[in-house]
Amino acid sequence: MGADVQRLLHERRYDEALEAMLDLYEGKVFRMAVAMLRDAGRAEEVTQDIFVKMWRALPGYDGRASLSTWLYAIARNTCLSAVRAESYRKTSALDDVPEPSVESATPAVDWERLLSRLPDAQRHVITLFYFEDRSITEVAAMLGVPEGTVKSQLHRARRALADIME
Amino acid sequence: MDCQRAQDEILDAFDTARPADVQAAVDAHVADCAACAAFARKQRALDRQLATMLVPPRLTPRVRAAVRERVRREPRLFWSDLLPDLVHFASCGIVMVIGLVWLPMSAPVVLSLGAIGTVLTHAVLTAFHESLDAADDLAS
Repeated sequence: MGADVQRLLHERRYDEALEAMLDLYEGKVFRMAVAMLRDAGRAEEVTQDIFVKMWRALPGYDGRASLSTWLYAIARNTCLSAVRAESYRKTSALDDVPEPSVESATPAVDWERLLSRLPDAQRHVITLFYFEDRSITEVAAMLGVPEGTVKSQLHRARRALADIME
Repeated sequence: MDCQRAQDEILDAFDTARPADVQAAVDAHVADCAACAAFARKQRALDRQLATMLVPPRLTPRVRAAVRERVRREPRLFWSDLLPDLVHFASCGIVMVIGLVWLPMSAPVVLSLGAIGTVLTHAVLTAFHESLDAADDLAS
């Protein structure tokens, strides 16, 4: 399939190349956005942004990196920009956010809160590991890090989560 | 096998199947070590809970429709990628024609010099554009 996309790009059939890339990577890019943004609705918007950016950049794709590596780099940069924009927005609007009431706390494990206590890198790795059917190779490709780094981050995240839950 | 190694192997087993001899050594260690047995129990429970909680999210079809719509509304600028090259080659052609008329050299010499000049200046322009693209990539 990657070769098909390369052929379409060579023939400057960018709209068809976009469709092929959506077929191949739409789900993965969306899961990556969810892992990094922790908001499925926002992740859908960012997924759109990523593919539109990719489409704009297709004529300049030089084939030095594989298509997936190239797309994941665009996806990571776009997600990180969205995270930064989101944290700036939240910081700016901090005064408007009401304190959570004690009564609203539930005794069940709040996984969202639990995961949010992990450093970003560990949270991204452990979330994508389960999203991507436990594939270390895929997570490493998505995050642009060596597989050994993914494994060590997973170890740290598992130990940290177990400690937090005690 | 010490506790640190046993615990690392227990964690590794969640993403990579361990060789039979290593797994047997871990099992033997865990059978004799209460701390590592508790660690293994806790990690297995955590793994089950994470697998239940971190279910791959489903993407709605409206994302693809929205991408298509946004791309459809984008101005078609691809031809402009070729514009610098077109301007360059046209300019070189004009210079060669002027050279043929004005320079006191034979036509083959002027055309050869023109062709060499065109290739060299094109290489310089391409390198310049690539350096600008690289700077853009770094900036983003």
